[in-house]
Amino acid sequence: MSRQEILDGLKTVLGPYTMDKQALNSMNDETEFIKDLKINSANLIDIIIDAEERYNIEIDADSAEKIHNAGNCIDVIMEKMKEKS
Amino acid sequence: MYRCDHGKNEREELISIGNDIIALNKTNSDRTKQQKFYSKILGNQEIDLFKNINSNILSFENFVWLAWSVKESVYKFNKRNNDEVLFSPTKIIIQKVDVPFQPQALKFNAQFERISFDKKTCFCCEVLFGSAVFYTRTLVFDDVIFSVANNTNCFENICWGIKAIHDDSYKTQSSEVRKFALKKLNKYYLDEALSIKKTLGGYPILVQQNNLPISFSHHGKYVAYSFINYGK
Repeated sequence: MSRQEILDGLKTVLGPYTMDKQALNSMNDETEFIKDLKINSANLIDIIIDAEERYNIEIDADSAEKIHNAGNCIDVIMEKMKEKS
Repeated sequence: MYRCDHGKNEREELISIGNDIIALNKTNSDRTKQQKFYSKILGNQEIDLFKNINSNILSFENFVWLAWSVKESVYKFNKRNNDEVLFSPTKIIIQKVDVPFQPQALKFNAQFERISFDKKTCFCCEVLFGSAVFYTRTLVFDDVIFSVANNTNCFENICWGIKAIHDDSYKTQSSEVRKFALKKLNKYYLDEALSIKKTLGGYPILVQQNNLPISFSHHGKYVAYSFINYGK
């Protein structure tokens, strides 16, 4: 799965939680979940679980703490998918 | 009213403040009870802490969100002064929870502002983050949970407020919490035109009072502030 495909899938994951749909549509690697997408921190666990289910992976605490923007979220997803394959 | 007790963990005061608020109607109760969800917030020793709390005083779902708000407020306390700090809920460990002396369901009614916390009605936690110990006070209302963190076990000078707002858009949350805090700050600093700015790291400060740290939080239709009142 390419980076772009994961970015597009991530938009679906983040959709229910973002308060800025315009920022979500133009999301790139640098887009920060809380600052740019106005996602409430209380939804961060929901996002991790939804991403785990979508990509059939498990995201541990060490990996989850690295996630604050789309780019490092995609990095973690790709790393976990690679570990599984 | 609770008196300050710095105890063994007395440290030089770090100028910071952190709070967090959870609107329970914005959480997913069924998901909160699922192990795959709460295990990303709670460690086994924290789940054991819950076993000692009467579930009539605090449901498991509310315990999970109490723990989240405690951990988030401790994180915010630390992040303000150290941009390198990462938020990893299971690495912020609640070691002790004291339940309120007179536990009762607190009804939230539009607005609530106080200085300090009354141990009759709040949960008091001792929290380990890295090698440092932090302290929190949490109020559990019927529809909202609110926590404030400090690095000493003294909350006597901490001013805080919670308010229900008319809509949950980000712009409204942001403007309402500033208005709410400024209204309170203006009661302490009467003769000044006050303005709240953000530090480079994005943390609110009161410019006219030596960059006094202020913590904001919002979730759904609730906003909250906290700051330390230095003797005014």
